[in-house]
Amino acid sequence: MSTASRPLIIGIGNQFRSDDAVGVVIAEGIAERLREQVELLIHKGDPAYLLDAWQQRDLVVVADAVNEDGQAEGKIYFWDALNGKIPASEIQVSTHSIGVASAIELGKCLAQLPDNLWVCGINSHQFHMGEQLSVEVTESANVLIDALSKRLQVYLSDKRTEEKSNA
Amino acid sequence: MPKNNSKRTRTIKVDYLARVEGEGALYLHYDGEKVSNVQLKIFEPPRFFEALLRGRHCSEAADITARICGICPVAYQMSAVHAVEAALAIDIDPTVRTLRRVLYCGEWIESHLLHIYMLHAPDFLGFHDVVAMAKQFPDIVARGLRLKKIGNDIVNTIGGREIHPINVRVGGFYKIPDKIKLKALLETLSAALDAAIESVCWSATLEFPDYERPYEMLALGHGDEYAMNEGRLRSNFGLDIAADQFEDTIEEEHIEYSSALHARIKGRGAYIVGPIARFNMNYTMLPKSVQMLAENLGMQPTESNPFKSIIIRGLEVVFAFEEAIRLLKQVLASDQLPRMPNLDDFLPSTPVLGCAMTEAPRGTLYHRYEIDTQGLITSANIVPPTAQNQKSIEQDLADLVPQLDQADDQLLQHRCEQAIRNYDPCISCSAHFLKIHKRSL
Repeated sequence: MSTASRPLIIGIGNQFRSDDAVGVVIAEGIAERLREQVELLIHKGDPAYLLDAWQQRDLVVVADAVNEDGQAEGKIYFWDALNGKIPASEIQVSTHSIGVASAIELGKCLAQLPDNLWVCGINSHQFHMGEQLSVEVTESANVLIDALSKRLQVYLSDKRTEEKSNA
Repeated sequence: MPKNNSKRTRTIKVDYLARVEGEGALYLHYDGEKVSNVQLKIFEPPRFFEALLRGRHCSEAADITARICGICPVAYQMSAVHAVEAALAIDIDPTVRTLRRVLYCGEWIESHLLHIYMLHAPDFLGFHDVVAMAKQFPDIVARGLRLKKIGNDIVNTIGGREIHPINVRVGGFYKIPDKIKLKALLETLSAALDAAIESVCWSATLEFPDYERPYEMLALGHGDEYAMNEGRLRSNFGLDIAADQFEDTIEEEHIEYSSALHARIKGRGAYIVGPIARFNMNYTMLPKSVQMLAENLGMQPTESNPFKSIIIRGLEVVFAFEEAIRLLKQVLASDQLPRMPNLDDFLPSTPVLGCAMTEAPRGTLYHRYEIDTQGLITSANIVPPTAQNQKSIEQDLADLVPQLDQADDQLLQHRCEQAIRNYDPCISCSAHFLKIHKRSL
């Protein structure tokens, strides 16, 4: 599988701002499970950089912290971003510039998106300085790493089958 | 546009100005005749970088301070290495100096274009943010991002990576960039120069509020070039100092509502640093081509409308493109590898002190280090441009709001945000957080 066709896993967050790091933790967890089958990118979320990074990719997975008032800490979110709109208010964490949802919308306007884009996150309320995730967010991150790794394996298997049948 | 004719008090609260060199807010109270209270509140907890530097080896200063800002890390690296080199009396190789200037051009390009297109232009065009702007003007936004990427490419090639670069060291670079990559950069820059010119011409067509103030403008001045990495700090009011006079001239004060210090000129008060100051102070050092472009766009080196900073950033982008092209040609024409001194050979026999000022995209950035005989930092001081502009931002708002007395709440809110962004405080100001609470008299 070529570099461009390997799924790109992007973890967004600040590792020194508590639960803000959960996107990074999820991305690293997936990369550890699937190793050379995926490519890992840790980033702070500059939308201009994201638009460039995910162009001409088959599949990109973006993991970020979500901040939705009134929802429980640890709530898991998943969007197939090109087949639906992400509520901007949800993927809008204070330390990530204009936010992933806005970067996706910008990508749509400029036709700078991958073929498939999965966005996942965990509702987080703790953004103080520190390197520890909260218990609720940690538990949900593990659930998400497991579920996404399995989903990616199915995707990769289907992809290989498709490539063989096209060969 | 609806108008409010009755005099009324207005309290403007910006609850969260993200990445204004930290986390900030604005509180402004207007009593119907004048602004009685304006506070640009920086509530980011102090990051204690100066304390963090104490006890660290002076070779680490560039990499540690690069972490202060994700948008202008090169500026921190440049001020840090120049200050340490000044302390240790290290002369750098001319090629190193040239490559550092190209690296700085890269940061100016990426930082200025980020601000022009993603943060500032939506203000002028009446869009909530760049996404809304891109829906109507996709080609314009795409041009901005394409040009910005070239700045990122320069920083990546010479600095080692795009964000928080790691290739700058005291005396030179850890690795001299590959000439094939430098040649590719030169070709990319040359091919995109016309787009950079189109970009500034477009920004000059925006509609600008009629607003001016008599600022004291400070910028580095250099006899041979448009100052970036070195020079004396000069102002339009006659200030002319070397780096080691900075702390004798500029004082910082702690303000109760802000965890960032406010800088002012001793005995005089507020001043501004940044693109407008540089343009006015160093106009004759711009290439003739950029001067002609400025003239064609109606820009004179007496500009004091902060809203027009978007045009001047665009002119500095064109300058940075031309300068990087010129310098890369020089580097590529030379077969000599630059001399890179070994830091250990320069460790002092007695404690030393070094200062440096360079021009970050947002303005002058000052560093000072005291270094002991083992090369360890015993004391550090860093004065970033946003801290220097804070007082003037507040004064602009205090001056501007009474002029907008008849404006509706929406326009007032809009102008206040736009006035803050004139100074390019940082990226997340693109999100609009202003909340206005009004109370009729």
